[in-house]
Amino acid sequence: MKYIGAFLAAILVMLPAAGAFAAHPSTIGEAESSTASDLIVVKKPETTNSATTKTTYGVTGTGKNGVSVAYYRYDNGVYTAILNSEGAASRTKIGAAGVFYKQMSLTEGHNKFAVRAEYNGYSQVVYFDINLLKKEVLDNVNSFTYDVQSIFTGWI
Amino acid sequence: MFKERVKTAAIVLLFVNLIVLTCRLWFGGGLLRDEIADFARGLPFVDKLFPEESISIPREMLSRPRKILVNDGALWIAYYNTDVAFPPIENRTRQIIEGFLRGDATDSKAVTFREWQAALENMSIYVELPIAYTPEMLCSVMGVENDAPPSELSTIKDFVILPSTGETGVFILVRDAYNNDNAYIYQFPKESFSLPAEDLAIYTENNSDYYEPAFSTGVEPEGVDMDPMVLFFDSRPSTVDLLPSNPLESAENGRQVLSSFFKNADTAGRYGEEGTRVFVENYGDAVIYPSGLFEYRAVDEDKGVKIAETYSSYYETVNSAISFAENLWGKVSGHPLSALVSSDLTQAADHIHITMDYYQYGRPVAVRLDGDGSSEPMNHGIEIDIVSGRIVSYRQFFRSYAPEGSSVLNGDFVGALDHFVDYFSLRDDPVISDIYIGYMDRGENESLSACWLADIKGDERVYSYDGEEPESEVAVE
Repeated sequence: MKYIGAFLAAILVMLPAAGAFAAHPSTIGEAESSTASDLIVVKKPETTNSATTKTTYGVTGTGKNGVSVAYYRYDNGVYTAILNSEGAASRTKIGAAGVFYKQMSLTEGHNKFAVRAEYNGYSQVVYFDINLLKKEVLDNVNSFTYDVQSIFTGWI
Repeated sequence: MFKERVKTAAIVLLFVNLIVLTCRLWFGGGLLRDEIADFARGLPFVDKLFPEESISIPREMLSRPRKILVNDGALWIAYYNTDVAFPPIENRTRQIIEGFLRGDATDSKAVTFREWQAALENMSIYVELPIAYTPEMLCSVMGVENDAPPSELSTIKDFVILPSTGETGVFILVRDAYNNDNAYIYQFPKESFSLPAEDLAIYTENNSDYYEPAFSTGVEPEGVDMDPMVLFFDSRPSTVDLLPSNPLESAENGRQVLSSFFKNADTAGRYGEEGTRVFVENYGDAVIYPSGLFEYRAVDEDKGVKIAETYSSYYETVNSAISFAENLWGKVSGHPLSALVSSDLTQAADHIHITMDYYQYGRPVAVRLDGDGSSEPMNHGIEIDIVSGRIVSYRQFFRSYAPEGSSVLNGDFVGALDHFVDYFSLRDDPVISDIYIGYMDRGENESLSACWLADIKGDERVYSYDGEEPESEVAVE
């Protein structure tokens, strides 16, 4: 009986470290269910559907210290783990700064991604679509965007 | 008879001309193989007759931006001043900055810091100088003659250049180095410079290191503030180790250094224990520590080593101080001094404090000597105090560095950010002003591995993090 108690105690002691050894799957479906909703907040892109002119896009977000984050790209009906330059799945464990950052290369048109967070057995998946504007649209927006117009008031 | 003399004079003149030109071609023009030219350079008369043009790295780097960030509308690409591809874009932006300093812009108005950031989010070129300057100093450093430089800004460190369009000329935004709320935009006439928007793509193609300013990422680290221009990036930099050595281990080198401060280095009193060498003269004293730290102090402000006249300008005095440090270095090393001025040049001219830091193989080397009972802490490669044209205090951590081993990958940026946030979380209102890869030399005789370095606003020290293997290396289960 005391061995069972010791075993349970050991499990309880090791549980907080579970986030560090989170087991993200190599692929996830289009509608993976989440068991938590507050592990991470994706800050960029700000909305589920967004458009950009950047061919390399920095996905950013915030989360709790210790949360493990994995990145997926949609292809042929499934989200597959993005690999880093060394060929391993690209993952981050959120640290003291409480932020994660991952540069994604985009192709013209819609680019669908998922960010999966895991901590203590809980998981959260955030899906988003970034539309890389086509070259001709890009040329049209290459003139200054709204934010900067105020600088030129009276000049242009 | 007269005709004969004229003929003789003409022949002698032609003969001398022949010899001089031949020597120039052989020894200066590179017609001979390098080994022979090197041999010829070893001959004493050759160096005297045809001195090689020497390049001053510290002076050269004073006017060279530290980094340039190009936003072509589709990508952010950063160039650092040691990149091979740096000169073309530097030359392009330099003309515009010089035009601003000359007063070529015809119109200006104040902008908010939000507008400054919005300009960066659009097609633009961001130029960051290595240190902050007064406008007058920046004019001198960049060789711009203008008796009335821009007066609305008291200090300058960075610029945002907006490309010209069909209707307008180039715009440049400039902010006060210490006050984001004091920023201006200047408009150049259309005919002044040509920087069409499509030219920006020239500087971003064939480059795969993407960067993003912190303000653009939408995230703020917990517990600390970060300068909005700290650059986030995803790749892991590759670096080599450095093996440091102490040139002052040689007694002769120590004597050579002393001779720049004392009239008679051979007769100056010598005392010391545990390898420390102390030298005392009537006008000053000096100490050489076993680590390579050298310290000189004048007994009085008017007894220091004269490097400039009392009426010399701020710029002339700084230049003289750089030359002094280079000459000193030249006495103990066969290589030019690879160091950059790291203190802002925004001070009053009567008492000048200049710091310089080593730069090796494209990376800065931060020095961090904690000091002990006998020596003060040292946070730079060189520290010079000048009063009325005289060096009253000079400290240098004499170090040479050689590359060692093969390239290794460093940890990632976010991992380093985590460490620094954790480290500074107990401080009151810390502001991280930059995070970058470099070396930290703590005075130990071990090889130096590159590490992440952080600058903190208002703190002269540089902080390091040598990193651990990031979790991104773990394979998918």
